[in-house]
Amino acid sequence: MIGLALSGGGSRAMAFHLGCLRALNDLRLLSRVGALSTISGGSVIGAYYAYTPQKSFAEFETDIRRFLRAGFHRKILLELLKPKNLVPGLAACLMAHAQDGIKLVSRREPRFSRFRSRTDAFERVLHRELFPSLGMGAARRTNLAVVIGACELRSGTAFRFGHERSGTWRLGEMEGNPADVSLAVGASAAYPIMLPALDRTFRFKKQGHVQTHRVSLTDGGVYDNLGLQVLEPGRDPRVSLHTFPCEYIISCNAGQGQEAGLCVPLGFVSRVSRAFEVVHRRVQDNAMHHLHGLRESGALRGFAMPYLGQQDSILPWQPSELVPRHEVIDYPTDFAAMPERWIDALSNRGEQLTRVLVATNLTDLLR
Amino acid sequence: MTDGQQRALWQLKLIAQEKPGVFDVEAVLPPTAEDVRLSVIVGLLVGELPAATGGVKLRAREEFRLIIPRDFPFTKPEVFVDHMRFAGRPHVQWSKYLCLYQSATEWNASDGMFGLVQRMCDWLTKAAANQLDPDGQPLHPPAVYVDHARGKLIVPHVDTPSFDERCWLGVAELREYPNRIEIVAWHPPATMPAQGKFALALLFRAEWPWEFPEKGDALFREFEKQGVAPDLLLRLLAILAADGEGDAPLYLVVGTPMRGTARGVRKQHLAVWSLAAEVKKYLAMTLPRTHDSAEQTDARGKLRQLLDDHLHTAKLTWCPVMEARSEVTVRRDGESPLARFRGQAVAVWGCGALGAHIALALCRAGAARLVLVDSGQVSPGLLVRQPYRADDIGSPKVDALEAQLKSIRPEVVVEKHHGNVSHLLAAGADWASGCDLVIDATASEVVRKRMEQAWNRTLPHRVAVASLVVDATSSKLLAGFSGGGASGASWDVFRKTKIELLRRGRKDFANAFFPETSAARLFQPEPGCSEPTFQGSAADATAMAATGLNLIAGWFGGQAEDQFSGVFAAPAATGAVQPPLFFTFPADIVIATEHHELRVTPAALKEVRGWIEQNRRRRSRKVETGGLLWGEWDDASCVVWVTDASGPPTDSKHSAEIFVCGQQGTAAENISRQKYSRNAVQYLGMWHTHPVSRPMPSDIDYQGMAEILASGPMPPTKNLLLIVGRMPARDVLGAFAFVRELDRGDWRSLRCSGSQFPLVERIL
Repeated sequence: MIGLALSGGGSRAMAFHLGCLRALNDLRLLSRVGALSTISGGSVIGAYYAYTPQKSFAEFETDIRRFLRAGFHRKILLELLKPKNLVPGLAACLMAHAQDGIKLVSRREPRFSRFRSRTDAFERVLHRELFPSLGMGAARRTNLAVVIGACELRSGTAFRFGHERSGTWRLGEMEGNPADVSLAVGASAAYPIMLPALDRTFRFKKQGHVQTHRVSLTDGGVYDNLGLQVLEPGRDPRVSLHTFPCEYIISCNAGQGQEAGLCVPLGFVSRVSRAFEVVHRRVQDNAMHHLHGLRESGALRGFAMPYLGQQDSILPWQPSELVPRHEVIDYPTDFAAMPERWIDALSNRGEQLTRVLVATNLTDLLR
Repeated sequence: MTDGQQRALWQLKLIAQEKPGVFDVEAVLPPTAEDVRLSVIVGLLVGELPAATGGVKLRAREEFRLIIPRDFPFTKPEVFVDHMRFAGRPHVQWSKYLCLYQSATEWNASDGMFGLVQRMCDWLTKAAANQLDPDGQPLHPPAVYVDHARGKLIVPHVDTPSFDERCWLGVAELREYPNRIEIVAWHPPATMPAQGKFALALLFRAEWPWEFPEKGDALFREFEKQGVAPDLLLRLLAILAADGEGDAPLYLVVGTPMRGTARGVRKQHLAVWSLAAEVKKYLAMTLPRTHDSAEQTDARGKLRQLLDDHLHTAKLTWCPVMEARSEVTVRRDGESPLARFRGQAVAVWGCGALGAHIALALCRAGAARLVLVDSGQVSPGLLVRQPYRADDIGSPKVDALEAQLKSIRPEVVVEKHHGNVSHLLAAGADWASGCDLVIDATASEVVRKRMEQAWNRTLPHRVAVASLVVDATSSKLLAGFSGGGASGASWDVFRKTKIELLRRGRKDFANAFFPETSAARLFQPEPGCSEPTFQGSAADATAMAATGLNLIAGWFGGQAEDQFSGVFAAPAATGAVQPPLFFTFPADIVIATEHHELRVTPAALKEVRGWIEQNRRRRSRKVETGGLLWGEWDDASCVVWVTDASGPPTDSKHSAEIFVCGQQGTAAENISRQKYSRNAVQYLGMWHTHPVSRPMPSDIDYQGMAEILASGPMPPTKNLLLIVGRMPARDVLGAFAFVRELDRGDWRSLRCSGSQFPLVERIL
């Protein structure tokens, strides 16, 4: 089985992954992918690919380019400004911050739920524009298992939405798998510094017992920004809700890689953002190291990691068409509208890197 | 009394104390100067045990004599009874000895007498239930008390014949060796060969007593019970005695069913009675001759009576028997990887540190035929790690090795060629010598390249070929295997392994077998131009040969079209272990042209398909596209390997009529690819499509090739062109090798050899 992981990274990741998917489609590998694991921006494009089985790749690409050109910011804002959302949303926001303050003093858990937030608005936009009335169990591309990764902040665990089952090992499996794709993608992409966590209550089944739990769902990148863990071989199905017998893994990584060292993080937001990025990068380095180990041990037959932040000089060879790293590396990771030029540059880099790395590391799959 | 014996007594008394009335120590006979063993008489309350028909009838209380050795508990005690009621039962020997343990390893020294008493209880339970010899237990022969001093060792090699009658009567064909006599065939009297040594053989269907008779009269009684009259037996023995050599004993093989049914059917247990040469001589004399006078007949009758009396009263000499019949033994190598070589014919090229050990292992594994090829002689320095002897010094290795192989398994067929493997290949004949597998342990690049040249050209029915190489310090092993239907042989599979190792960044193995420069230090053990070799001990060589052979065995019998390779490193002294790596390579597409053989990897073709797909997406299906080809061109074996195909450089020109391949970035890409692959992958030529026409080079293609072969300060001498073209029914790959003639510059002076290969899949 081939496992494909699409990392987080906002619109930048979506454009980069578009190119990776293009290369895999040209090489006729995309249709052979058996398990798709997505995070954040990767979830938007990955879920759209998975849940539009009727579309050709060309149609899929046209749609993704349209979403990227338009961005989601304006639509989220319009959603928030709707009268039914504006006042309750603001109130809930204030309550949430007040509760945080109270918690500092009294250590009591908040009793109010957070609703009509920006993430809720994002979810509604996704629901309306990309995934209308699609439950996680809806029709997908043939034989493609889907796992959309989020993070559950209360238990500090990975919360994964799958086409068959969703949940987290700590709380159990969501009874009846009721989540919509838009909820899964919204939760997966709710970058905690910018967007509030989705506050929801679900019924979970664990070891025969059903219990109701409140969950705080945020960006899956907090837990595993590459979405790799779920595809790794050797996971215990008695513990993990999602396991796949992957022999090959293609991990599309829209991370930035090594920093140039130009940023001076003075303020709270820039400091926390930078800290987040450092932690992300370290975790990703470890994940990459782990992949190498799995391959050397024979548990994995091969893997390729097209990596936006790849140092071009250490590629086995550089195709003449390759969009160099420095041209795309600083593109932001939000969901703002993206100019066509950037879509081309990011996707071409993804495509070229994927071609080189598949030809180098996954020659098995080309036989 | 030793400490151990005291402990045994204490343990017995403890049991008696814990189980009053059930277990008693009735008498203790301490060791004496004559008998250093401790004897203890114990009584055991048997009570009402479940009894079965045929079971041993036990008394309410049974007495046993326990003999405890000085070395207790490290030597097990023995258990006797002082009556004959158990005689003749399974696991009862000498009528009074209870055999409680099948082997010494069953005795648990830590359990001491507690374990022994438990065993006794178990034995009694089984005896009462008639389960001392249940079905499904391991094969257990009857007890035969052999005479090691007078009986020669007998080794039955072939399975006994099957028969439905009460008794099978025939002869066992014998082959005598200094240390043993082997039974190599069974013949019914009618088909007994004219030549050879034979023993009379009687195989019975009915069971015999647990213990074989020690005296002649008991044996003859048993024969009579089984329907063989002593007169007939003596007559048959006399006939055989008259045929045999005078000074050798006469043998009678007695087969009786073994106890236990390990494999469902009761197999024959063989005991061999040895009759002294004198007895044999007299037996022969009892046979009546045609012209016997009345006195002679009378004398023969008297002699016969005397012999009859003698044999009835004499103590029987039973020969020791070591079983080698496959029906009653289980091979120690069982289903190990080397079992695949049983009955196979294998050629071993190179009888050195690897090859000699491999040949020995193959012989032991049961290979039917071995072909040894080596041009060397045994020199003193080789004895450090090659399995030769000082007596072999100066002999050709193939002769010395043949002698060893024959001494291990006399029946193995050995053919030997004392000569160069390379010449064998050059001869162009059946270089595989009709074998199922060729193992190339020469570590010679020349042999591998010659084989590559011969692989697709000379042998109509290819066989599997494996090659083994160890690194300079014999700490790493490289093994390659090509199935009989593979597109390439060992050079090919090693080249692919090199690329894979470098792609995976495994420089440890890559440096060992495919160093960047060939300036590695050569180890030449003897003065003069001796063959360079690796440094390593007999243990290193044996370990590497064994590992390599196991790998080959695992691959032998796989898909005939596939190639396999593996790299293995011995654990370092620090305990660090480099994980081994294994690769499988599918067959390349082989396109033979007049002068060259092209081998296109399936991956390169898939890449071409991917670029065509990209062209369709970006431009149109009708627009020509193309790119560059990467691989290796070897003039020695005349093979061109196409490993990768890349897309159009950015300055390429596409149109429906023509594709002009650009050059931007290609020089840099060539350097990068050469560097990462250590020259195994470099610029070879170009590919392009003819979306609506045949894959034939146009005048423009010829011109383009001429320009490439004449351009720059150091123009290349050859260039490859692949064209994916359209034929009515299918896509076709046209392959064209262009080589520059000496009067360079004019495109008409190019030499082009080409061929076409229909593709199974539509890619245009």
